[in-house]
Amino acid sequence: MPEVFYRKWRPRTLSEVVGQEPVTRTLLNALITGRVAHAYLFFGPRGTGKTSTGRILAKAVNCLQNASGEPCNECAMCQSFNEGRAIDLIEIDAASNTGVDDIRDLKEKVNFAPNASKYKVYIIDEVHMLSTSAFNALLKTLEEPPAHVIFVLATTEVHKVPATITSRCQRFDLRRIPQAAMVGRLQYICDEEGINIDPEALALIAKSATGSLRDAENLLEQIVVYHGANVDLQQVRSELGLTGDARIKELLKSIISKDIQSGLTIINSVANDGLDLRHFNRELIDALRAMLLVKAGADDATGLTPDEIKEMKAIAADISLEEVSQSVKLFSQADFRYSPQSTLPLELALVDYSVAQSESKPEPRAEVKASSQPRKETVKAVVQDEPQEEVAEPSVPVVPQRIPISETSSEIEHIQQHWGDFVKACKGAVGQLDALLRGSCKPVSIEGNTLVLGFYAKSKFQKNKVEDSKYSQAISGKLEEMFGTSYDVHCITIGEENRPVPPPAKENPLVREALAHGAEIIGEEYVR
Amino acid sequence: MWQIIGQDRIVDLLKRSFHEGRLSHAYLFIGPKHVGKMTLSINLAQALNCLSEDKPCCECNSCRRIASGNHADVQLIQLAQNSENEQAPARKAISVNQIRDMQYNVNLKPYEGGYRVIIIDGAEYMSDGAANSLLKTLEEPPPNTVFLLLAVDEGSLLPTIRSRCQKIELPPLPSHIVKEALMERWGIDPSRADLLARACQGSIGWAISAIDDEGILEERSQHLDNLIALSGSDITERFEFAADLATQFSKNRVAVRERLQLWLTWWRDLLLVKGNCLEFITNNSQEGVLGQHAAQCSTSAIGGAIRSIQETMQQLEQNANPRLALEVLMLNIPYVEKEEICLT
Repeated sequence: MPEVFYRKWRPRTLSEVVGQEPVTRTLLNALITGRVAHAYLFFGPRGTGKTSTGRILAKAVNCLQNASGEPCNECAMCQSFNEGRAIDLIEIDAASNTGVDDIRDLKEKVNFAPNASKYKVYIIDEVHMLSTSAFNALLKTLEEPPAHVIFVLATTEVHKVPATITSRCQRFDLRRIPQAAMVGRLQYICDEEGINIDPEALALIAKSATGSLRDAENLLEQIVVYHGANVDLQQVRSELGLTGDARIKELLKSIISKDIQSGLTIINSVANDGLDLRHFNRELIDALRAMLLVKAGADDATGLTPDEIKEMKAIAADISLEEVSQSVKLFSQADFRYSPQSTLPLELALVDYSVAQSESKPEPRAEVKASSQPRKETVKAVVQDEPQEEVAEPSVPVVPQRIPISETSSEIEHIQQHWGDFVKACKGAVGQLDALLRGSCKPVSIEGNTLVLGFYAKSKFQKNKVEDSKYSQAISGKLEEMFGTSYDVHCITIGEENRPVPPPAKENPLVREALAHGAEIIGEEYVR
Repeated sequence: MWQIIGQDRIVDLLKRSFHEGRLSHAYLFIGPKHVGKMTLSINLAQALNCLSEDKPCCECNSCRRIASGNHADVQLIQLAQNSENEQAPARKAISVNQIRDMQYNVNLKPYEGGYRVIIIDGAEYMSDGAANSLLKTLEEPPPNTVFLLLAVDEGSLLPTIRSRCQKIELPPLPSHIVKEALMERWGIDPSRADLLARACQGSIGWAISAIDDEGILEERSQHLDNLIALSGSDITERFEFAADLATQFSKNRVAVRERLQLWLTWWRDLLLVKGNCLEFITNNSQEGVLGQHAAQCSTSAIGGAIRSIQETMQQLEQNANPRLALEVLMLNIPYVEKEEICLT
C-alpha cells in the first residue's frame, strides 16, 4: 500500500512549507544564527503544517552539514529522520497519553543525553488534550530543560493550553494557507506525479479545501484515482458535487414564477440523481445573489460574463428587488443540520416563499368553494381561497356554504343535524351570536314558517338576548344563508333535563393531572 | 462481488483504488442510516483479505469469516451495547478506552498476514477524548492498516478527523432503484416493493429488514393511523397522546425520534399534494386521506407544522422537558375535521 499524498508529500525543508512565510523565515533565521529556543508552540487549523514544521525543525538542528539553516536531506542523520527511525526524535501523541504519569515518565527520560544526534527533540502533538495535572507537571521541565532538549508542542486548540505553558514557549500561529500558495503546491505534486490537470480545476480544489492543504491533497488523490492522470475542470466539479447551471436556472425560474409544482419536481429530481442538496442549495443561493446584484444594478460585482448578465436580466424581469431579497433570505435559512440528505428544507423554503408572495399581494378573493372540491388544484388558488381568519385560528373552520336537504330526513331533523355547523357559521355575525347559541339551546320544531328554539332552563340570559329582534333577525338571515329557507325565530324554555350530559370532569386527562397535583374540584361547569 | 446496491460510482472508485494499489489508509463513509455503509465496509475488508482471484468473492474462508464477524484482523468498534438489560439505555459514546485498546492491537502485525481493517461504526459518537486520541494513529497508521469510519452526520465529527480521511458520501437511494433491487434480488411483488421503496426513504437496509418482518411495516402504518386520528382530535385527546409519547421518550428516545421523522414525511406529503407532485410522495397507501387533509389545511399551516416538528426534535435533542415540548407540538398541529376522515 503506497503512502497517500499527504504523507508522501509532507514538506522536507522549511522552504517547502507553503503559505507560512512569517513562521518559516523566523525559524530559518534562528537556525542560521544558532539561536534556537528550547520550546516552541505551533498553533493553527488542521492541515496547515504544524507537525511537519516541528519535524523539519528537529531535522535541521541535528543535520550534520547544516550550512544555510535548512536541513540537507542527504546526510545520514537527515535520512534517519526522513525514514522515521531517528532515535532522538520522540513524537508523543498527547491525546492518547494524557495523564500525569505519562509526563512523569517523560521527565525521567529527558535528562539522559541524546543517543546519536546533537539534540533530543520532543514533539508533543495534540497537546490540548493533556490533563491539567499533566500540564502542570510539565511546567518546570518546559521552563528549564537540559541543554540538549528541544520541545515542540502542536495543537489546533490553543485556548485549551494553560497560559503558564504558552508563556514558556515561543508561540507561532500558522495561518490558513492562501489559495495561490496551495495551488502552487498542488501543481508541484501533480508535476512530480505526472498528472495533467487544469489550473482552474486546481483552483477549485484549493477553494473547497478552505485553507487546509491536507484536505486539498486528499481531494486531489481521490479525483486522480477515479479519473486517471488526466483531469479536467468538469470532473473536479462533479467530484465536488457541483451540479452545473442547468437545473439551477430552471429552479430559479420556478421560484420567480412561484410555480410550486415544477419547483418541487426539480428539487426531487436533483435528489434522485444522488446529488448533494447542500451543494445545490449553495449554488442556488449564489445564483439568487447574482440576481440580487443584477437587479440592484451592480452588474460588475457579479463576476459573470456580459452574456450571463443579459440572461440573468431576462430571467429577473418579472420580479422585484424586494422579492429577490426575500428569496435569498429564505433559501439561505434552509437548515440541513437535522436532515442532511433530505429534500425537505429546500421544499419548505420554496413553498414559504411562494406562499408569502401570494399572500402579500391582495388579489380579489375567489368564490368560496366547497371543501369537497377536487384536490388537483394549484396552490395559488388554494391560498387565495382561504380566508385570513383561518390562519389565525385554524381550529374553527367556517362553513358558510349552503347545505342541501337530503331526501331521507325531514326539515327539522336536517336543521338539528347541522345545528353545530350553523352555530360555528354564526361566528362574526352580530354581537357574539355564536357564543349565545352555543350549548344554550337546540332547535325543537318547525311550526309553519317559524323555527322553535328550546332554551334550557338555566340559559335564561341567552334566551332574553336572542328574543331581542336584533339577534333573531340575524339568526333568520343566517338560517336562510345556510338552509335556503327563511324562518322566523321563536324561543321557548325547555327543562334543564334536556341538556346534553357533559362528560364527567374527572375523565378529562387535564383535570386528572391537576387532581394529581393536589387540586380539588369545588364545582363543575361545562363550557362549550 | 460487491453487494452494496445502487452506489455504482463509489464501488467503481474503490475498485479502481484497490486494483491500482492506491487505497487510502483511512476512509470516511457518510450517509443516512441503513443506506449500506456497513455493507460497503465489510466488502472492502473482504476485498483486502480475500483469498481468491476475484476479490471480494464472498465465498472463501476469509470472506465468510469477515461477514460473520470472526476474522482476527477485522475489528469493529461501535457503541457498547448493554445487551443483558434491555431497559438500560445504550451507551451514549464510544469511549477513549475502546480506541486505546484498538491502538494497541493496530501496532501488532496482522494475525493472518493480510490487512488489518478497523471499522468505527457511528464515528460521530466518539467522545471528545476518543476522537482526539485517534488523530495520530489515523494520520500515520502502521503499514497494511485501513481505517473505515462510518457516520451519519459529517458536521459532528472533529474537522481534524475529517481532514485525515478520504471522504466518501453515500446519498440516499432513489426509490425506483430500491424498488428494482427489491423485485430482482428478493423477488418481492411490484406493489409491495413500491410501498417499501417509498417508505424506506432511500435507506434500503430498512426495506430489506421489513421484508422478513411484517411487524415493522405494520407498526409504521399504525403510527400513521395514530397521526391521522390525532389531526382530528381535540386538545384533551392530543395532550393525553403527548403525555404517552413523553413517557415513551424517557424509555426509548430512538423510537420517538423515528416517530417524529415519520410525521415529517406525512406533512411533507401534504405539501407535495398541495403542490400537485403526487409521484414523489412517501405514504402513497394513504393517498385518499392525504388529499382530504391537504384540501382542509392551508399551505402555510402545513409549513408551520413541519417547522414545529423540526423544532420539537431539536428541543428533544437538547434535553428539553419532553412532555412540554410535545404538548407545544400538539398545539401547533393543524386541526382537520374528523367527520371527513370517517368517510374513508
